[in-house]
Amino acid sequence: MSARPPADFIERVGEECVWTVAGKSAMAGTYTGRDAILDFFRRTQELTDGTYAVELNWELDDGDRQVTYYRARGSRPDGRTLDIDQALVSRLDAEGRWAEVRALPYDQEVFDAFWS
Amino acid sequence: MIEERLAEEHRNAALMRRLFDAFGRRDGAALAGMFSHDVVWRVGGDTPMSGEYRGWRDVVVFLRGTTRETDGTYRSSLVWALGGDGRAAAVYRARGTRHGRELDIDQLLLCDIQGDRIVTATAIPFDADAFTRFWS
Repeated sequence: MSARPPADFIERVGEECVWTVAGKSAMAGTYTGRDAILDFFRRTQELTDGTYAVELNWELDDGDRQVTYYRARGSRPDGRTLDIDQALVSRLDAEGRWAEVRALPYDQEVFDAFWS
Repeated sequence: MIEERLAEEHRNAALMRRLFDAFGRRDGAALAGMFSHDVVWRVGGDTPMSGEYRGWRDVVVFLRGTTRETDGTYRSSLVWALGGDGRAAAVYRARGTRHGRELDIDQLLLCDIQGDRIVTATAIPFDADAFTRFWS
């Protein structure tokens, strides 16, 4: 199963979701609310000329908490490339959508270098 | 309802619980029994602890190193775990002191499992900067 955000992730973002991106890059920070998060998704596409994509490795949840493990790939117009494992640690809302998400790259330095 | 939750717990989530129990007891023999012979344990970042440890002996040596490097103060305690067929994930709190520096952060462990044994484990800190400062 593969997904290219935002297409497959959009419907999973709850209205009140809080999405936190770790690190020091221009993308790092806390995005609050569905609109802000979808803007963030759009920015990942803009900065990569639409090349940013994720491929799901696996996902587990118990209806309340969820861990999503995936490969993130993309390239920037200046030649920088990204090809790393990442994970989302999430709390789900009553509809099973993301209420709180913490995005964690396996290699923070590579992530920061790509997105800075 | 703790009993209900435990009763419903996937066997691989239970494996995570046993893994962190063994960490807490510093029970190397129990740990070795939870790893496949050729287990790979991956630690991200650019610290002396980062890298890929291959085989259960090297993994146990690495895990002992977290104790040695912290004068026995390093502790990892399970916060919650999820299990599924061939997979498990655990969020845990890592604490310790080292050369006057303190670590107190959540970390994520992602595991592939065959039978009742871990074949790959990938550790990702929630706060990579704090992790790097502590272990460098």
